[in-house]
Amino acid sequence: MNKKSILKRLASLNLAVFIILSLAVISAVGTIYEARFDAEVASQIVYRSVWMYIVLGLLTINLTAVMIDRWPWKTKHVGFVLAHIGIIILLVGGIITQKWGIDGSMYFEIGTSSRWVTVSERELSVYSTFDGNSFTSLFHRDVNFLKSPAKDNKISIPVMDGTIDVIDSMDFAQFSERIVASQDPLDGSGVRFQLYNNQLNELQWMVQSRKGKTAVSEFGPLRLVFGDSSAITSEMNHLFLEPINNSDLRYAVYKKEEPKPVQAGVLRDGEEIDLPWMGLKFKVLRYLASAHREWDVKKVERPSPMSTSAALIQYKDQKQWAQLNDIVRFFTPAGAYIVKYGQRRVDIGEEIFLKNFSVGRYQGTQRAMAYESVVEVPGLGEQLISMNEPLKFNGYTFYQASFQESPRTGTPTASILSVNKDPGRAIKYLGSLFIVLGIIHLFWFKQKQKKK
Amino acid sequence: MRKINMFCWSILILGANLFMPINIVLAGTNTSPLKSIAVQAEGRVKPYDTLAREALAMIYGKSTFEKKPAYEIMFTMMLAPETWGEREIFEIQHVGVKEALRFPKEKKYFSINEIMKTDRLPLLMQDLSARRESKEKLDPYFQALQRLENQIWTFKAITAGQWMALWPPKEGSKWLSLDVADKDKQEIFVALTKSFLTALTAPSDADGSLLKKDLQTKVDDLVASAKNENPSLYPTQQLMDLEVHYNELNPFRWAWIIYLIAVLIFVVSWLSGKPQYFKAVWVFTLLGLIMHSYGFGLRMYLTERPPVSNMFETVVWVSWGAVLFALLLEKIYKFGVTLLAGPLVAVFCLILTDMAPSILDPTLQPLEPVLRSNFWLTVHVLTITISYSAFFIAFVLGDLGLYYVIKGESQWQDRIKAIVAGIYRSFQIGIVLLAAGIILGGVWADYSWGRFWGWDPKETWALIALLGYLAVLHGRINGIIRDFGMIVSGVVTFSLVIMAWYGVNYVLGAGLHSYGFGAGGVEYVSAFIFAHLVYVLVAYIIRKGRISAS
Repeated sequence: MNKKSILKRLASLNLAVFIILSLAVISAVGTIYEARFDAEVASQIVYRSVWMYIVLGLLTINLTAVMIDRWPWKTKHVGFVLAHIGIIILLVGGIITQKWGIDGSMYFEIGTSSRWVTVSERELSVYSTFDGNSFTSLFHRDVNFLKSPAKDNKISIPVMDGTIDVIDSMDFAQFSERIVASQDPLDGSGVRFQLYNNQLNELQWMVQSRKGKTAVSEFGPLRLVFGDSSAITSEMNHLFLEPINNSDLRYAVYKKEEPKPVQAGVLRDGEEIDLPWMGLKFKVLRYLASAHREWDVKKVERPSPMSTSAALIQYKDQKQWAQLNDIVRFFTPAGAYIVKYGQRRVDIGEEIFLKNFSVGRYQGTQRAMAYESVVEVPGLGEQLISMNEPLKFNGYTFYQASFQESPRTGTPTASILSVNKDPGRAIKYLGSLFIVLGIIHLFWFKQKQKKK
Repeated sequence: MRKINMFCWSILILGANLFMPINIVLAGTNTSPLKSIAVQAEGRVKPYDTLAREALAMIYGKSTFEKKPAYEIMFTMMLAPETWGEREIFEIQHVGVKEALRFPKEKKYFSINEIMKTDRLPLLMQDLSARRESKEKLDPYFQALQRLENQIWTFKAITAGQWMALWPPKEGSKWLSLDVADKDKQEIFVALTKSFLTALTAPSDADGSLLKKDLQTKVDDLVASAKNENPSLYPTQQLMDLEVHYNELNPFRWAWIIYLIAVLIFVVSWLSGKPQYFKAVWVFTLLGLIMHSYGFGLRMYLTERPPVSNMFETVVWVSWGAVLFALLLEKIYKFGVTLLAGPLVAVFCLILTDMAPSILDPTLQPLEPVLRSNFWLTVHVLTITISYSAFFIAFVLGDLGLYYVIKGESQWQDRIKAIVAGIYRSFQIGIVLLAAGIILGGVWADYSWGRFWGWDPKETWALIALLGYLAVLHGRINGIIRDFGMIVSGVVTFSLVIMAWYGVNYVLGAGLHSYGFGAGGVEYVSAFIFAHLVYVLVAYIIRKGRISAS
C-alpha cells in the first residue's frame, strides 16, 4: 500500500462515521453507568476507559488526515478546517485539564480555616509510631480499587515484623456502628437507653470516648450528661448519669435554674424512671461499664450518600476494614502501625477562613434560594462566594457547591466549596469558538454554493 | 397563642357548617371575586385561584371537579371538610400503591375517609420515610406514595386553616395563615365566608349581581386588612388579576386549537391540490403563534424569568421554536411541507401539555438556587432546546416522507425532494444551535461549577444527539445516506433528542432499575418511539419489495 492510500483510508468518511457512532455509544453506556451507580464510577469505568482513549485517538488521527488530504486549502474549506481543528484543540484542552488541572472540594465548618482541597484520587499510606507522637512514613501509593480491586491485585507492604496487606476492597460499603462490651480498662462506659412518651420514642447509645470522659446528648430542652457532673449548667433541664460499678448507674434529675436535683437514685438494666417533663420516661436498656465501638460492614449494590469505599487491611491475624478517609490502627508490643486510606489532598498554599455561611430561602418556605459563604482570604480580605459568583485566588477558583446543616435545628454548620484549577480552560474555549464558527460557515457556504 | 387561635378557627368552621344546607347548589360566577385574593404558598405570592387550582390538581388531578371550578371546590373543602369525607376525589393512579393499600385496582378515585381508615397507610408512610432517610432515589412507586402523602397533607392543611396564608407579616417573610391570625383578622375572614356561602347557596332566581357585590366588598375588606399589615410585601391587584387572567385564558390551549385549524386547512389544500388556501394556513399559523407568544410572555412576566426551567416550559418553548423555524424555512425556500410541519409539531406538543398535567407540571415555580443566574440559564437552555425544534420539524417531515415513500417514490418525486431538502435544512439549523448550546452549557457549568464538561447525563445525551446528527450528515456527504436515508434519519435520530430531552429526566432520573411502571408517561413515550420504528420498517420493506420487483 502506498502512502497516499493509507492517508485516504485514515481520512475516510466511513472511518469518521464509525468514530462518531462509537463515541455516541460509549457516552450512552456511560450515562447508564451513571444512573445505576454514580458519576465517579461512570467516569472511571467508561469515560476514562481504554476504549474511550482509543476512539478519541482515532478521532484525532482521522481529523488530521482529512485536513492533510484536502491540502492545499481554499476559501471554501474555511468552515471545514475551523470546525475540525476546533475539535482537536478542544481535545488538547481536555487532556491538559485532566493532566494538570485540579478539581476537588474544600469543606470547613463556620469559624474554621482550611488550606486543603480534597480530590477524587485515592491513596494508601502506612505509618509507624512508638509513642503516638512521632510518626514514620513507611509506605505511600495511589490506589484505585474501583478499577483494580484489592482482591485481584493484592497490595503487600513490608513492615519491620512482617507485612501489612490489603486483601479485599468494597466499592460501596455501608458501615454501621455496634457497641460491644470491652475488656480494655481504658475504654469508657456506654449506656443504651430509651427516652419516650406518647409522641416521642428515642433509642440511643451514649458512649464515653475514654474512661473518665463525658458524653452529652440533647433532646430539645433536655440534656443528657453521662460522666462528669461539671458539665451541668443551670440553663437547661438535665438528666445526669454516672457509672458506679459494673451493673449500677447513679442518676440525678436537674430542672432548669434549680441547683439541687429534684430526683436522684440508682438505675440498672431494664429499670425506668419518670422525668418531670411532658410525661417523659427514661429507661436503661443496656449498661456497659466498659464499652467499645465496632463497625459492621455491609456490601451494597449501588452507591448512596450513606455508602463509602472501603479496604480490608490485614496485619498478622488481625483484619480491619478501613473506610475511605479514615484510619485503622494495629497495635504491636513496641508501638503501632497506622494505615490511612483516603482521598488525596492538595495544599492551596494559603489558609482560607470561613467567617459565615447563610442560606437564603424563598419566602415563607424551607426551599433554598441562594447559598452564600463569607470567607477571609490572605491579601484579599473578606470575600463573598455564592452560587454563580465564584472567587478567584492563588490560581484557583472557589465555587459555592453545598453545605451542611445541623439535623436538629436546621441551621447551617459548614460550607462546601468546589475548588478548581483549569490550565486548559482558554484552549477549550478557543476550540469551542472554532467549532461553532466553523459549523456556521460550513452550512452557510454550502448554501451559497447550492444557490449558484 | 396558637392553640387559642386553632380553637377559634374550629368554632368558625362549626359556625360555617350550620350555615350550610346539606345539598349545595353551586351558583358559579357569583363567587368569582375570591379568585384574585393574594396568598403565599410554596415560595411565591399568588392569587387564590392559582392556589386552588394547584391543590385540586394535586388531589384530583384536574383543574375542575364535577364541572365546578377549583376555587369554589377548595373553598367549600376548607369550610366544611366533613362533607368531603365520603366524596371520591383523591386520585390514586399507581397500581402498586393501590395494591399496597388493598384498594380495588380498577378504581381511580377514593375518599379521604376510605384512605385514612386503612391500617396499611401508616406502614406505607413509614416505608416512605425510611426510603427517604436512606437517600436513595425514589422509584415511581415511592413517587406515587409521596403524592399520596402530599394529598393527605394538603387536605389536612386545608381543614386546619393552615392552607391560606393571607396576611403578610410585619417582619420576616412568612405570611400568616388563618389558624395563627389574630381574632380581628379571623372575623374579617368569617364575614367573607358567610358572604361566599350566601352567594353559593342562593336560589337561582336571586339577584346575582347583588350577591357578587356583597362578596366583593368582603374581599376588599380582607385585602385592605392584609395590605395594611405590610404594604411593601403585598402585591398589586393588577398582578394578581393578570395571573387569574393567565389561568382562565389558558393561552396554550387556544394556540393549539388555532394551529389545528391551520393544519386542517393545509391538509385540505394539499390533498385537493389547491395552493390558493396557503394564505389561510399562513394567517392561522401566525394567529396561533401570536397566542402562543402571548401566553409565553404572560408566563415570563409572572415568573420574572425565561420560562425554560421545567419540562412543561421546554415543551411549550420547543413548539414555539418549531413554528418559528417552519415559517422562516417556508418563507425562504417555499418547500410547502414545512408550513405543515411547524403547526403540526405545535399542535402535538401543546396538546400534550394540556392533557398531561401530572407529567408536565404546568404550575409556576420558583427556581432552584443554581439556576438563578438568569443570563446563562437563558442563553444556554434556550439555545439547546430550540435546536430540538429544528429536529422536531425534521422528524415530522420524515414521517411525511415515509408516507410518500410508501405511496410510491416515482410518482411523488417532487414532494420527496422538497421534504428531504427541508429535513437537511432543519438538521443544519439544529446542529448549529445544538453545538452552540452544548458549548454554552459548558461555559455556564464552568462559570457556576468550575468544570467545562462533567459527563452529566443531561449534557452527555445532548452530545450523543449531536453526534447522531453529525454522523448522518457525514454519511450524506459520503453517499451512504441518500434521500430515503435522510427521511429515515429524520425520524430515527429524533429518538436521541427524545432521550436527551425527556429520557434523562424521566427514565435515567428515576433510576434505570425502576421504570416501566408508568408514572411519568415512560410507556407512552416508548410506544411512540416504537411505533415510529415500525413505521420506518414498513416503509423500508415496501420500498425494498418495489425495487427488487422493478
